[in-house]
Amino acid sequence: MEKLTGKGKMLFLAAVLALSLAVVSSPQGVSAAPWPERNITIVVAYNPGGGFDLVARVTAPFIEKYLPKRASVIIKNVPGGGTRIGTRELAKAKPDGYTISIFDPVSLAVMEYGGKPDWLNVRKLTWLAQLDNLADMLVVGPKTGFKHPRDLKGKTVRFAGQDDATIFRSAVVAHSLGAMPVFVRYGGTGEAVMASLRGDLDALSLSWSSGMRQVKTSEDKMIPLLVSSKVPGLNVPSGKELGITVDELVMDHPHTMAGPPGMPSDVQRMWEETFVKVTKDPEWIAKMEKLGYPASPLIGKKKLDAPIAATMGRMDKYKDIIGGLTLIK
Amino acid sequence: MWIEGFTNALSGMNILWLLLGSVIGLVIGVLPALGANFGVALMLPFTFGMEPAAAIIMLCAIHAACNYGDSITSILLNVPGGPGTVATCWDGHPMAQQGRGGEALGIATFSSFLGGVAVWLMLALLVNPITKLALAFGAPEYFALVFMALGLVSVAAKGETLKGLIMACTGLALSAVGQDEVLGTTYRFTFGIPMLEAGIPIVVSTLGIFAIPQVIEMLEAGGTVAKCTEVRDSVFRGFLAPLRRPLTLLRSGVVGAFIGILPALGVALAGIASYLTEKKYSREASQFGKGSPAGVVAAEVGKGACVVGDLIPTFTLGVPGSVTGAILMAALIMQGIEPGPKFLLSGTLPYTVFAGLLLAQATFLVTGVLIGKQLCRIAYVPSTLMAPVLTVLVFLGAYATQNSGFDILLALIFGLFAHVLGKIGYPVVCMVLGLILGPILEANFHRALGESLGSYAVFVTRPMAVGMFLITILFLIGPYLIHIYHRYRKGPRGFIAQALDEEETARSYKGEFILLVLLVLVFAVFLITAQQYRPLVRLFPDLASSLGLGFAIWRLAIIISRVIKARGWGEAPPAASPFAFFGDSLSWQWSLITLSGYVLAIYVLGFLMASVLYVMGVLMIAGGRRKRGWTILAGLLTGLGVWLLAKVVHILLPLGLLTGM
Repeated sequence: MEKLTGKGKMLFLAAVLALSLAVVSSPQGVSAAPWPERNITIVVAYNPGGGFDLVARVTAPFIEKYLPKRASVIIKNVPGGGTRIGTRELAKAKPDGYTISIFDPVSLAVMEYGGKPDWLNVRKLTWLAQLDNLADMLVVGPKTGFKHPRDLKGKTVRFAGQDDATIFRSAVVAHSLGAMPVFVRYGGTGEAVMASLRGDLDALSLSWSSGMRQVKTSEDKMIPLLVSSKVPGLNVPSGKELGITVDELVMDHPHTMAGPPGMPSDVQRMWEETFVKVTKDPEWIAKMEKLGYPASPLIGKKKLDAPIAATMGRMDKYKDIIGGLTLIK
Repeated sequence: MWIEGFTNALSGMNILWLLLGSVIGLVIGVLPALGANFGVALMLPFTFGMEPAAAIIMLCAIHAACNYGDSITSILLNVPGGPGTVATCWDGHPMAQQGRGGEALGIATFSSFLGGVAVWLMLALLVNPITKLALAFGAPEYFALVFMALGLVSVAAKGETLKGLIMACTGLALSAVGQDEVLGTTYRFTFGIPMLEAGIPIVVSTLGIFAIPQVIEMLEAGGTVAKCTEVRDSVFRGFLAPLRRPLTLLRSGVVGAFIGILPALGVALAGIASYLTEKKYSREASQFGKGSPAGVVAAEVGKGACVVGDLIPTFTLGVPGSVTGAILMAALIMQGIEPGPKFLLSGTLPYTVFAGLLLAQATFLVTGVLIGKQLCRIAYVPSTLMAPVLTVLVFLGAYATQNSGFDILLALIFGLFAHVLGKIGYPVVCMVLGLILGPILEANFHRALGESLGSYAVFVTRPMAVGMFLITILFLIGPYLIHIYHRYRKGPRGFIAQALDEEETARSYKGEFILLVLLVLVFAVFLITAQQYRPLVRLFPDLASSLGLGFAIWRLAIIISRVIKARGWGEAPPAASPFAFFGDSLSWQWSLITLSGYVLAIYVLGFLMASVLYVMGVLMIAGGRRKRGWTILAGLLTGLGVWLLAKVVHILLPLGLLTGM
């Protein structure tokens, strides 16, 4: 074979590279083989490191394990605009099952009800699986003097408000207790707890798991007063036990996976089968437990659509609260 | 416990994880905009199945090495690897241009190490008092501290205070774009663009501001980054520089550690604040900006101290000091360690974590020495090849920050604006300070007001806050008092002032006039738009826009009076033919066209294909037509590199409208 000259070598190398680049970057052909044909993306509308991101990162390898066909699951953090940017990306994505997301349905309900964005219809999203669901906890600072939830009645209480959903839940719990809430915005729960320890803030409404972590971190200085629904093994009274009406439907904190509206039913079914297997895996259950999010699965559109519709319906009841918080644009 | 911690950390496998973490961190750190939070988040799932000590040691190594890696591109290419190393560019890069890149890397490596180790010792020995200090720092104190940091505008714009103030107000006004800082329920100044609801990410804006003008400059100048042929270089020589400057070490270490210990202030502020503070007090201040080792020491000690200091609230208060801190905290929880005051009482593992932190610092010190000299060769790669490849990495980094294609456009807009500002002689650093400090200032103002149930007295009744306000006033008034004392004596002046003065005599006022008219329009639009928001929501934007408007009109009046006096715009420097080829270089007009074309192509053809075409296009225009084979090869290699990088670090490349690539 004739030897290539310097220029010839260069062109040969360029041709090989061009060919390899074309091969690696070309979209894979459509085949009749089982779904999925390419990688899955989980859009997380938060920064890395938070609860939603961690649950997604813990769950992603198990989704890979149980998908009908081998595919990578990539976490795509799309933070900003108080989860609006990431939520919009999911809501506008192709409903082909390759893009899903992890949400707190109450947060979306507040976003839809308050801001009325034309791209969001919470009821129409394809709800796939609730992974966990934690009761809400009311925690107060050591300098407030509050020892019982009824101590808040008629008082002006400074609540931490990180986002629309936190403000909404705090307003609902304050409404239930007859307190007058004032909201102070913090960068995160840790900063709010520091303010409570200094006496600059009175109360936080957060998931019981996060609440108990803060109580422990503060060396029991922070005081847990109330949970929205009974938590087995936790020595904090629920609203029901104290005779206080706390709306569990909007107060509980679930991590729920959903896809864009209009996902084909066969793809939906495959997702549901995958999540059934994921949520039964003892290793996944143990990891979620370790993370502070004990599994509480609810799989499938049929099981999820009703509570989502009920949550949306409940928003009318809190119209005045949402309006008063100027969450309505 | 300490001995057990170190023994654990130094066991065979853990050393391997330490080294692996350092290598991963260094690779991610070197890439513009991809910082420690990206690296640690990327590797977090892989640590879930690892032994607790190994997992934390590897993540700590990634954290340390990423922050070190950021300095490399700052020094060698004048492109900050992350917001924390913006100030490293200012003296590190001139050193690289003088053929002292190795020395600058040595200074950065050892200074960052010293800053980190000093704070590590503080963390280990004084954890309780430091924790108490962080706990005592409330919203009014933060507000006072950030107000004090805003005083640095006067240093950054020394001699040109009015221009500095205009720029600071521009930064402050732009920082108000997006979610409001009162309750986060209003999306300000989005002008119908949904992506602006996310605001302007500081990583993206600083990347654009510093990288794009550098790319344009590299292409315009041609040749190589290193402007000298004689190499007088030694990484080890750089180790002596911080040791010879104990006061610089002390001052910058204190500033960096303080900013690190207080949650949410961030490494971006640490580097710039340490540098500017040192510039104010150093005996070598006149050399700052010209390749002064003291400048690199200050920026790097501040950054190194902040990076480790950031972990103090994370570990001891359970309050993450940054996004990276939050991820490390999650990793600790996953491994069964609860961060908080009882952190050090949770058995041997926390001591292993501490040992791992120290060893991570030591590892990047060794890595830095080993690779420093080799990396310097980058400064000798032809600029016409380096600049387009760098642009590809910059845009990739801007995109990966929030996985948003819009951020690429934002980086370009900020970059071109910064280029214009540089040409006209406006101190862009002041705008960066405004962008960084604006949200912290506003958030803490409203937080303090909310905590005090609306009483403004909170700002004058907290002793620490009052103390800091007084220091700020002294800091601002002090120079004027000294100026009055030295009224008739011409003292040494800072590099920014000198640069501005040089421009003042050489250029026409026409460009500045157009800029100011545009800024007046922008401030006016902000001011009018703000009126639709509630009073508290519009308070800060109103203030920044009104002040900016006032300062801009003031400066316009000065220019108009000078133009009337001189009966003309002044002489413009002779301009080269805008579309001329310069052999192996590219005029700035061509840079503008190719950069804009590249961004457009990303939206149409997708990132991969657009990058290949852009690199080949720039090389062709800049004289590569003579070497067609090399041009095609460089383009294809860039494409393959981008594809591989995206696969390895799991970046979903932006898709094009046409190709879906």
